[in-house]
Amino acid sequence: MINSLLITNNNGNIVFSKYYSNINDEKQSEYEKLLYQFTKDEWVNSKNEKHLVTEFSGYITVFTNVGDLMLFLCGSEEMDELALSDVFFPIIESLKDICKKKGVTEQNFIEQIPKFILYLDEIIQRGHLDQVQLESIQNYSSLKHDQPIKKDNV
Amino acid sequence: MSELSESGSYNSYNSLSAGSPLPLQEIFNGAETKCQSHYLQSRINTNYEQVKQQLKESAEKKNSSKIYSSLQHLTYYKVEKDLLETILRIIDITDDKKTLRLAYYFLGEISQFKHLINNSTEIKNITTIFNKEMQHKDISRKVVSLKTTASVAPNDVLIDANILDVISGILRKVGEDPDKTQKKKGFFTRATTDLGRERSLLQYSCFVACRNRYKNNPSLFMPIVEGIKCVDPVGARHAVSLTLNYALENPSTVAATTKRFIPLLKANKGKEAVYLVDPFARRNFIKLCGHLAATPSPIGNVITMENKDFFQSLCQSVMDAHLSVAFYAINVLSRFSWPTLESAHIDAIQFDSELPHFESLAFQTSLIVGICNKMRIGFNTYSIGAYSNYSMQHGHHHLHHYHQGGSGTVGGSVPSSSSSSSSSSNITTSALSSGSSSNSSLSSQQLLLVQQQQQQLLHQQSNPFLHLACKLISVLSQSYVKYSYPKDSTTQQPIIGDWSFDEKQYQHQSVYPYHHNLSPFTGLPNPISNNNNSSNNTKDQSTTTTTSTTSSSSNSIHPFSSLTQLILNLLNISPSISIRIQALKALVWLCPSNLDQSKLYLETFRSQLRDPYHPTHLFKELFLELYKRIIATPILSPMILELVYDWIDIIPSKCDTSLVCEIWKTIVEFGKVFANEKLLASIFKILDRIVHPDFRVLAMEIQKDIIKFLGEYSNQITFEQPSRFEQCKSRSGSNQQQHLSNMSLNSIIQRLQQYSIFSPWQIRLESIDSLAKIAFQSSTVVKVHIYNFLTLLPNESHGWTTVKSNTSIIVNTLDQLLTCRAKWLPLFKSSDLSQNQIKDLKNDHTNLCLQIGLFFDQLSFDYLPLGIESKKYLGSK
Repeated sequence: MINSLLITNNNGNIVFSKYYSNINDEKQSEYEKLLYQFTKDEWVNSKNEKHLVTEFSGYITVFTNVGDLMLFLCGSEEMDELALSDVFFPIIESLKDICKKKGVTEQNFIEQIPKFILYLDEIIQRGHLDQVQLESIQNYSSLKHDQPIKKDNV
Repeated sequence: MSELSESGSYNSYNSLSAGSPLPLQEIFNGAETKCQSHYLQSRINTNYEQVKQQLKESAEKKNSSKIYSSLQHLTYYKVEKDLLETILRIIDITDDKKTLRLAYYFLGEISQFKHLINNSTEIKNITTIFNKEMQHKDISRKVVSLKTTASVAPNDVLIDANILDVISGILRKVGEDPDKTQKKKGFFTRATTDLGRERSLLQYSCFVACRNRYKNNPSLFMPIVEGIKCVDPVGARHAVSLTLNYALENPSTVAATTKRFIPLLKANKGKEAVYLVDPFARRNFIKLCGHLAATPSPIGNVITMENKDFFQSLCQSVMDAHLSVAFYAINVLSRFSWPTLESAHIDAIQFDSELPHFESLAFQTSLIVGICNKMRIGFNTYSIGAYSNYSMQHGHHHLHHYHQGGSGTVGGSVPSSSSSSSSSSNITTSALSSGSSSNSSLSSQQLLLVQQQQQQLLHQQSNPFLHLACKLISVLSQSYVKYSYPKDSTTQQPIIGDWSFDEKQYQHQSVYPYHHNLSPFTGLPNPISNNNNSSNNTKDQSTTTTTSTTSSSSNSIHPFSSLTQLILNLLNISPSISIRIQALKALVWLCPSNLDQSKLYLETFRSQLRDPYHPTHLFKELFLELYKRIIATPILSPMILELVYDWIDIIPSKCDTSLVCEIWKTIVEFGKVFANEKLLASIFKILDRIVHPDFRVLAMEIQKDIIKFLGEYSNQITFEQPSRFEQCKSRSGSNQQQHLSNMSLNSIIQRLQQYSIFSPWQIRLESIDSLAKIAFQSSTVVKVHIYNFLTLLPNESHGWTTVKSNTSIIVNTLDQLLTCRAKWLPLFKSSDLSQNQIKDLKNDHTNLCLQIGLFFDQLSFDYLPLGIESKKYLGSK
């Protein structure tokens, strides 16, 4: 399953976090601490949306850089590196879509969080992957399920 | 992470966009924040209580614009159960889709407090709203309501029945035979009309609802299994996942029901074989096949015809065009035993427009070959630079080496994407063809070009692929190594082998300090020196006899050996620590179970130790894997001993001595004299090495740990303790000789005596402790010797108080032990003891065990302080 999605600025300050697994605040903070330790030196290599991987405590985390933000997607069990990398695509597409007017900056993203959480709610539900096509995500997040899909991106 | 970042330090606080910010104290004084992070709270101008109040008020007043803005503000926080009533009210009164979607989002969030929803009014409200939504003409409201209510509604019989009724109504047509309905042609597969599209959407929402609530409901079994054919790709994915849940409980029924869906199965062709468009649905189907194929049949743990089809489907999935799916199939396959994998094959695949996601395969291929080809194709595509020579002197630290590549091992078809990467690699190769001989001759323009190309190549690397590929190679190789390594016929333990032959070979190749044969640029073995070594080795081979046990393992060719070069190259091209860790772990298992053939690997691991940028955890991971490897193949222990020496010698600050001691302990437990001799030689070499003054403190800590290890294991290493000697006999190849133990033990004791006189007080303290442990576990002669030494030990230097008090406790205990021994020994020899004497003996035994136990983490349960003679009396009632 997908365990969490964290979005930070380039200094490592968390601007968005969503945990799908039932872990307490202490465990969350421990995970974040380790994540920072294990990946900080490699953030520079994740420019241009290059997906990087780290693995510790049985969790695989794929991370990348989009605009001013760092994204970390953590999974376990059947969610291996390649699966998480694939899940990243609709998330990044959504992120870019909601920030398309002003670009993916920290400030802009914070302003757009209300929209982003609805997109994300269509992509991941209770740790399970749901929609992956941006068009479906857009339609479903605004309750326009009856809109026909214009193009097949699968 | 925000708390950790030094540079972050909440410096953006003043850049709040609007409103009056909360004072920092208020934000950080509270141990908890309802906001997703303290940092985010500092960047927004609201707080949870404020927003919650605003939402409640606007819901009371039915102010739609305020409701919407409050819900938006609430998205920055983690909501609590007390908002349920307000959220339900909003859903009830609003028609605005944006507001409604947000309200349903929060209703979904509240589902984590489902167990707290026990108020009858709340339950009634949830049911009323759900029923109302299901009657709504808007399909969106039906979909979102069904999905959300299934997760938030508490476990209640009436609610369950209500939701189940709706789901059954959607997945079955009223009045028809429920199990035949879904089989009707087009029920799940047609969605060309608006009605069909609506139906597939509702089916999708039913499957999501089932995942949230009814995972193994028997009445929904058939509709869910049939749902695998659902035209909505996401719906089909959920249906497969639900089917897997059923399979966990009842594999045989699910196997019989789902067999008809297996793609590429001849019997299914043109019938019900499913083409799952969504790659994640295919991954789920692979997981299902993996479970069904691995389920033992009722007649025994064998692959029957029934699960054979599922296993074959897994093999065929290796040819899935989507790399993630193909590699997931390999991952699932890796859980099967090596003989199963070795005998499996991938059937030829002809292009089929109905199943376009499978790559064509002209001929039937062995599964292992198929996997290797898939790996190579992946490496060609994603580990660019693997076949090029390049340099990047001023680039990233890991890319400063000249790359020695160009192996001719690549086979199989290469996809079009790889041609672009290889062409760029060729450009690099030609640009550097002259540079590789003399890097100083590179002009600045050439260097710039190289750097640009290097950056370009770096961006083409797929870290997720490389990471997973290395892991899978490691797992599969491990399976092969463990299966193929010779086992003792009686104990089924891996044989220890004979290390003496290989020892001679190693002496030719590398002595401490090492690296004479390494390329100064690449850190890889110098081909010239390697050739020399191999010629030397050949000579040695002709003069030395190899044992039959080692030769049997060395003769077999590792099935994944063709991937070795690709992984070695990764160490040169990838700056990612995670990738390097996985690559090293894969190399540990790719290493042949033969000391002679493992030299390349030894030198590769050595060169990694010299990289100043490698973090401590990389070495821990590497040595942990090496530790696992020597348990599986003890023959490689000399190689690991050399690496352990280097680890301590080159980078003491990054050395984990507890792991080192575990490795040594494993070697001790092999129970062979020559293994223990080699181990002792290695330990003495570490203790005797000249330490650079900068590392003096670190070296002392390491020395302390080694002395402690000697204290705990000297008796086992030297077979001093008779009871352990008996245990060792059972181990294959054990050839203990009592006379050797004295020599080894003497040399250990002499060293410890030396340390307890001439070293800093910390080392003296540890050495005395170790001497005591040895004394407690040894024969009377050794006990007396150590007792004498400790009583005469000078205590004059700094820290003497601690050392002296510790020594006096040990001396007292030893004194008691020897006195008791002297008291009981004549009685043991004379005749049987009376009941009172036995009682006294037991008291003495218990008292001594209590005192001596203070010096050990865990005193052995069969420890006999009064000697082996006391055993027969202590056991009596």
